[in-house]
Parts: sequence; structure tokens; C-alpha cells
Amino acid sequence: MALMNFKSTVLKNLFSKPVTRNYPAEPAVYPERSRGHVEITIEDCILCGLCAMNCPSRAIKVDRAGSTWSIDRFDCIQCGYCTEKCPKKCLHIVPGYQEPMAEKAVATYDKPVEAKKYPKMDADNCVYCTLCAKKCPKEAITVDRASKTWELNKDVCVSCGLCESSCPKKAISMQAEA
Amino acid sequence: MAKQSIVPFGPQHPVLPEPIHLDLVLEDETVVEAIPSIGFVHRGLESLVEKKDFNEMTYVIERTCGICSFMHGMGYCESVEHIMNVEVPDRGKYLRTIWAELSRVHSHLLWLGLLADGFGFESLFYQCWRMREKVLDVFELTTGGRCIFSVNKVGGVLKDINDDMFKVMLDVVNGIEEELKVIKKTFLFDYTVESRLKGVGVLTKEQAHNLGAAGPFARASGIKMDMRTTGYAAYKDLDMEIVTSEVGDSFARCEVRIGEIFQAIDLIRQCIAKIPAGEISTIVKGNPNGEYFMRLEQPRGEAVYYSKANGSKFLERMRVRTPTFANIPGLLETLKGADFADVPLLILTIDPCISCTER
Repeated sequence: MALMNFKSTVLKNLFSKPVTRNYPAEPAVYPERSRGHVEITIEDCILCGLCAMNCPSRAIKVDRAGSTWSIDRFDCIQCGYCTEKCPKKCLHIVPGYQEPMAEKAVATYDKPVEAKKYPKMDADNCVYCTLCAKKCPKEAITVDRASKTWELNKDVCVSCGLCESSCPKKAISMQAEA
Repeated sequence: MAKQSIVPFGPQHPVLPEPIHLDLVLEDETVVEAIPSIGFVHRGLESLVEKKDFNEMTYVIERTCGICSFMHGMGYCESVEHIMNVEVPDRGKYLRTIWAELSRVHSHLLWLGLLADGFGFESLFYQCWRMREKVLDVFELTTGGRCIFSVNKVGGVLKDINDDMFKVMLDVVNGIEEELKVIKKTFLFDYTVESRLKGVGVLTKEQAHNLGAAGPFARASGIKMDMRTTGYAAYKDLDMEIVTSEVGDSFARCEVRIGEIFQAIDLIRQCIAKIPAGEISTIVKGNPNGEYFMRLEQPRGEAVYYSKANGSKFLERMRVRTPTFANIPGLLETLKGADFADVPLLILTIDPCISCTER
């Protein structure tokens, strides 16, 4: 009968569970690919600024002088173009949407400033050839072949690593101060 | 002559999710003329080509609309690919076709729900949107987005679909097909539905042709025209029969769209069975130089994407002709002589997408 076409659907719905999830008691499950928000592994970032230059909504700002990477999460459209452009692949789109806030806020990430490294000489391997002292652009290294001494003026050293790369005996290594 | 009165309809109206305004000239309860005014949601997206390079533009164009977003991105990318003579790998073409057809399924289910809501059948509306929700879940699984997918790029697609995802997709479309077979009976054989749709807003084949109607709206009037038969993306490898009806009333439009959901599900199955292995995109070098008209079949009808490039990374001009814009003259014709109470329903039957139209 033409009037009773919807009957089976009605009966099915009457005796079946609700199709909707009991949110938030039962939290939403996002698939792996879900484009929630952009995340950065700031340690790997080289602050090249390609993400900021290519962001269609200009939500990303890169400050090379201040070593910061920032994103306005309310401007971001989660298109994923920054992750495509990132040469170090340190940007990722991960599940989890931006939570609502009363005001637009910019999330800023500081690139950690690495502890200054200084050359350290291994006395067992050093032959006091003075090559490191000759290569040093700041004349921070003093080597005396006769008395077999190797000295570094840390106030002058710029941590360029040229001494390390020029040492024929691989006796110098750049190490952070403890 | 009876006394005429003008009733403003929209831009805010319960039946309209998006703003369009019509001035309805009435004689008693009958519409004699409808005067449209559009432009309430113009955002100037096309002019952004001057500020965003042609790769970034993909993400702008697909945000033209939330329902046909994937095909906007696809149409734009194909137009630039034609200018640059880029051949997209076969797997990329098939993936585009699969997502395009899934978009058609979700768009038509959305429309069926809105139609049911329009003629006051709330529970039928819920049934349609419940089915649609499953399609959105598949989109989120495969692309990461529910409405805006961001998987298109000039040269192919960004994400691949693996076998597990195809299995989920097949289960979902098979489930929808079964459910729709049941729901279809209510749409096509129910007395109350028939009384609201049959013989309402008839557009003859000749009128549809003269007024330049497009998509299911034109096909319901007997015009056998579907851009998918031109064989863009992977459609040249797929078997499809254009769904048409000769009647031209609101009921025929509903019938055609239901037929197209089954057709889209069949096309998805064919794609999954035939999809070749291999690359999903190709590397694109240089900037485009030239112009191209890309025509493709959106859920609402034929859309045209015109891109003009001058060898720089910014396009000179980008233009989209959307199906709703083509269907507005046809809508005004169907409104003439219609009952005032049928106006919301008739506006729905062209499946209006105003944010596409005004961009």
C-alpha cells in the first residue's frame, strides 16, 4: 500500500540503537589521516620560511632573527600545503581540531638555542702539527710543538669547527660545555 | 486583471541554507513572475589568482563551496594541467574519479534530505542524512577532511587509497545502496510525496534547452547531456548510461537524482575493480602559459573552469561558470504559474548552490 512505504524504516528505527555517538561521554575517534591541526618538530626546523611563503591563508610566520616559528591556528585552513613544501619534513598535520577560544591566539614555538660547542683536543692522537692553529680564523688556538702544549682561548673561539675538519689525526672534536 | 502583490522571498528563509533573494509577483496565490537578485555571498575568490600562485590557488578554488569542493579543485587542476601538457598518471585519474563520484553520492543524498525537509517529511530527511554521514566518514578516512579534502594538486593527487580503505569504501557504498533501495520507495511511491512533487514546476525539453539548463535539472526534462561522457579523468574507461526522464516536473528531478546515486555507486565499484597500480602524481616543472576551458559534471550540472596563464606563477584570469547560475533562468520559468506554497520546493529542485554561483 502506497501509504505504508515508510513502515519498515520506522519499525527498524524503533528497535535499533541510536546511530549517533553519545558524545562527549564516548569520545570521537579520528582516522589517522584526519586533518586536525599543524604540528611542528621545532628541533628539526631550519627556519627557511618556505611554509610561511606558501601558506594560502598566510597563517604561518617565521622569524629568523628571533628563532621562532608561529602559527595563527584560527587562520590556518588545514590544507597541508606547508607540509608539502617543508624541505626538512618537520611539519605534520595530525588529528585533533583546534579548541574554541574567546580570542584569536597565535601559537609560537621557539627554536632551542643549542649550547655553544668548543673544540676539544685528544692528547693521545694529537701530533702537535699546528694545522688547527693555522686554520683558525680567530687565532684562538695556540700550539707549541717543543713543549707539546695545545691551548684554546674560549673567549675568542666562534665554534666554526674548521679546526675539527682540518685535523689530519682526527684528534679534535667539537663538544658542548657541560 | 487581478490585483498583483509582490512578496519578497529570501535572502533569509527556512528552506534556503544560502542567501538568494526573489521578488515574487503574485496574483492571489499564483506566481506570475519572479525577479531574482544574487550577490549576497560574493567573496571575490577568482581575483585571488593575482595574489596566490597557481599551486596555492588549488586550495582557494576548492573552498568555493563546501559540497562540490572536490570537483572544483579537480576542474581547476585539470585546466592548468591541460595548459602545461601534464599527463596525470592513471592511478591519479582513477582516484580523482572515485572521490568525485563519492562527492556526487553525498551531494545528492544531501539534496534528497533537503527536499524531504522542504515538503515536510522530517524523518525521511534524517534517513537521507544518516546515509550521507557514512560517506563523509569515508572521506575523512581517505583524505583527512570531511567536506574540504585538499587532495588535488596540479599533476595528480596527494594521497593514495590502500586496499583496506577500498574495502571500507565498498562496504559503505554497498550499505548505502541497500538502504537507498528501501528509502527510494518512499520518495517514488508514497502518496503524500507524490502529491507534493508530481506535476509541480514542469519544464519542457524545449524550455530547458532554450534557457540553458544544466545537470539533473536539464536531464529530468529529457536533455541527454552529461559531461562525464566526454571522458575526462577515468570516465573514458567506465561504462555509464545517462539517467534521464521525459516528464520535467519536480518528481522527475527527484527520480533522476536517485538514479544518479545508484549510477555513481556503480561507477565507484567499476573504478575500484579497474584501478591500476602505480604513481598518483607527476612532477610539474615551470609555469603555465596559455588558456583552457575545462568542462566537467558537478553534482548540480556542468561546470566550466577557464584558466588563462601568462608564463608567470600567477594566473592572469580564472573563471568558474557554475551549474546553479545556468539553472536560475530555468527556475524562474518553472516558478511562473506555480502555487505560492510550492515556491520553496521549486527553488530546491534546482539544487541551488549559491556560494558556488557567487564565489
